[in-house]
Amino acid sequence: MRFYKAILVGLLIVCAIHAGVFAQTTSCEEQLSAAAAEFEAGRFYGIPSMLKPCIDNGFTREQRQRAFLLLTQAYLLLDDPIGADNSYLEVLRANPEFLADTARDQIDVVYLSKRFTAAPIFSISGRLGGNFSPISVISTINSSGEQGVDNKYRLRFGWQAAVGVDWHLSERIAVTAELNYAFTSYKKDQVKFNKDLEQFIDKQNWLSVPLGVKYSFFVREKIRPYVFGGYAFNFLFSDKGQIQISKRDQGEGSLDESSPDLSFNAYRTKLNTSLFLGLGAKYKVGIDFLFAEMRYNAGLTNMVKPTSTYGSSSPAVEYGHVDDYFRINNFSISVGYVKPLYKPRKVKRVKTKSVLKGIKQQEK
Amino acid sequence: MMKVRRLYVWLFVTTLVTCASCETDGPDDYKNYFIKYYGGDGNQEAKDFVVNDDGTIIMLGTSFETFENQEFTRLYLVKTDAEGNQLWAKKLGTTLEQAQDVELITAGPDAGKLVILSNVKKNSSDSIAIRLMVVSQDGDSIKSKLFNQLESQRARSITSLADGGYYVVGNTTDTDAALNTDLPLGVVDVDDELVIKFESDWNNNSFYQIGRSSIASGMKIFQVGGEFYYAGYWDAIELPGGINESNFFFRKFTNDPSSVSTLYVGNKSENEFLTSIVKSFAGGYLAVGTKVATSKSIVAAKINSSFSAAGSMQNVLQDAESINVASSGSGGYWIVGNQIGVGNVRDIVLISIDADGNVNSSRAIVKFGATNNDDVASSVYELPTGDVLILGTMELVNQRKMALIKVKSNGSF
Repeated sequence: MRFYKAILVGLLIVCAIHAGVFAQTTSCEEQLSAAAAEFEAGRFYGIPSMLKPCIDNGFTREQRQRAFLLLTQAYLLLDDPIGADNSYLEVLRANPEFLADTARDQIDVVYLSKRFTAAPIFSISGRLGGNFSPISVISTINSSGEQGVDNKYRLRFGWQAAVGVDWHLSERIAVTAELNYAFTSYKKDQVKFNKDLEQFIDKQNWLSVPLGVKYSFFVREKIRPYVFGGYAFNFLFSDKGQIQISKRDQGEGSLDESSPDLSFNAYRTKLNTSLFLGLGAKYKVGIDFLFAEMRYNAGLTNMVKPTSTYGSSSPAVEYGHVDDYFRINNFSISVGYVKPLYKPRKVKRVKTKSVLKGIKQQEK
Repeated sequence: MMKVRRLYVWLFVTTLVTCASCETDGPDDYKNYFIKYYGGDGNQEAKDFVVNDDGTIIMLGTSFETFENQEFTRLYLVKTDAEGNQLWAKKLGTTLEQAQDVELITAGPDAGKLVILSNVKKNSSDSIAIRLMVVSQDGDSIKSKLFNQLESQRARSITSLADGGYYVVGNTTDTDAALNTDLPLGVVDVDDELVIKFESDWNNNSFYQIGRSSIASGMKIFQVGGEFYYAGYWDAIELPGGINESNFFFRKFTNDPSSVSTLYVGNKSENEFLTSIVKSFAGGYLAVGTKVATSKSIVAAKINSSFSAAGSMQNVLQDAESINVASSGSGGYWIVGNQIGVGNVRDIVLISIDADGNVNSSRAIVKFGATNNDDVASSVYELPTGDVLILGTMELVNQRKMALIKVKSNGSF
């Protein structure tokens, strides 16, 4: 009984809060309409005080944008440039991607808007996804002396997570840097000694720093495709392999034996580099973005040390396993979140040519 | 705009650097790391190899195969190029055959071909016969001959002679009591030395059984002009104050190896078994073997060029067994053996010996083998380049395969 009472009380509290918020929102909307009516009536002086309570505590982001735009217009008409500037900066804080439009806004607001931008200088992002790693063989190395040893590399799935930062050089172009953790894997099947099958599963853990350039399209749309490319430094901090040998003799069954996980760190190049290309799309959510992208990393470095897996006591000696010289590539698909660090500010060089163009187009 | 222009320049430079740094061609280093395995169904155990003047290598081993719970053993012959790439692999002989030795025929109608020595298990019992087989450089059997004149005989090595004939040495358990009258009371006569001379006509042969010991075996004969130098081990009491224990022996003969004076090397109270002997480029010989006491160790002794004087027996490596020895262009020698580890698991060892017959302290002993696998050496040879080829048998988890290893003269890959 006490339990049900508690639920009921909780529901009442939630309803009360919701009603309060709704009432406040409604009243602030009414207040905003009243202020707009005052503006239409030419009574500008009272508008700031009318809007202040809701500016301080109550407007939604969208209402805040409309309120400060109204104030910007009022201050322009009151010949208060400082007030207009400050109000327009608040418009941009409410909606960093706000653009004054000659068709919708007063021409002096449009001109004023050209003196400001909220374009982010940096964006931060995080992403998560899956990958697989095709292998490019540089030199085939067989421990078996027989000719025509059949080697086949097979794909295995891995995953990756990254955090990154974009440095926006312009609205469309950004220089990007990331810190990327990736788990990658591949499998090599080798048939030797007549029909024996050696299956080698190699698993890598990487820390990568991809540095690149990103170019975005449709920068005002809800969905913004982009392409990117660059150069990555990939530090291999762990490599483990497992070898399974299936001895398959004529007239006999298969005799299978597996190794435990063996460290291949000693046989790998630690610092690898790659070239990457990719494409993706950002979807605007509020003032941030969700994104999905795919990228292809073309490995540039021979991942195997010149010794391969040879040594006096090594996988070559214990299991007969020898690695080819190869480069590891990677195809990944990720989804993530971008938070642009908007910075409303005055621009150094004001360009107003586009305003006139807009007016002319409108006249036509 | 400046920033974007700088970016384009950066992109251009990066692309150039990237293209230049892409490794599309591998280094050839892997060719230096030379361990190659050979075999097919079943297990293959290496025995001996021959390096031709053109650099090609012919390896002899035994293939062990099981079919319907019955094990068959056949000769396994592999030819590779100088880089170890297999040119062909063939199985030869009967299904009860074990490889022992392969030699390049140096004279006679079959010069340039190979003679293979094998021990053939007789069907009736544990007895063994000896087979000689002449094969072409393509591995085709040309002719073979079975020596089965005793109840059981085991061959150790074959020597191709200047007249086109062959000497085969080994031992026989078909002991001749008349030869062993001076054995101390209670000592069992286990085997006699056996020296077989095959004439160049391939059909005629003669053999010598040499007794006066409990255990004995001929290991190798060298032809030096009109003489033959013969080495082996036996446990006859020849050393003053000695007991019935095995030593290396060295003899010189012209026709009959049984009635000549004998040179002995060995400790009076320990068993030393000769495993291999080689003639150095300087003219002397190095004999290597295994000393068996509470543990095994590799021992070596230098013999002079006329087979008339021997140096003292040198301890080479403790907890190890000797397998084979090769001469080095440096005037020294290479010994291959097996280091015996925990649980009697063995690893292949390569030991450099200087011209005086001592272990070369400036070169580390090189070891090959996995901790839990039984890996054993079979033969060793120094190439004209100074690189060293080692033939062995490596255990690869669930099978045994013939392994050819090439290292530089400093023992590294």
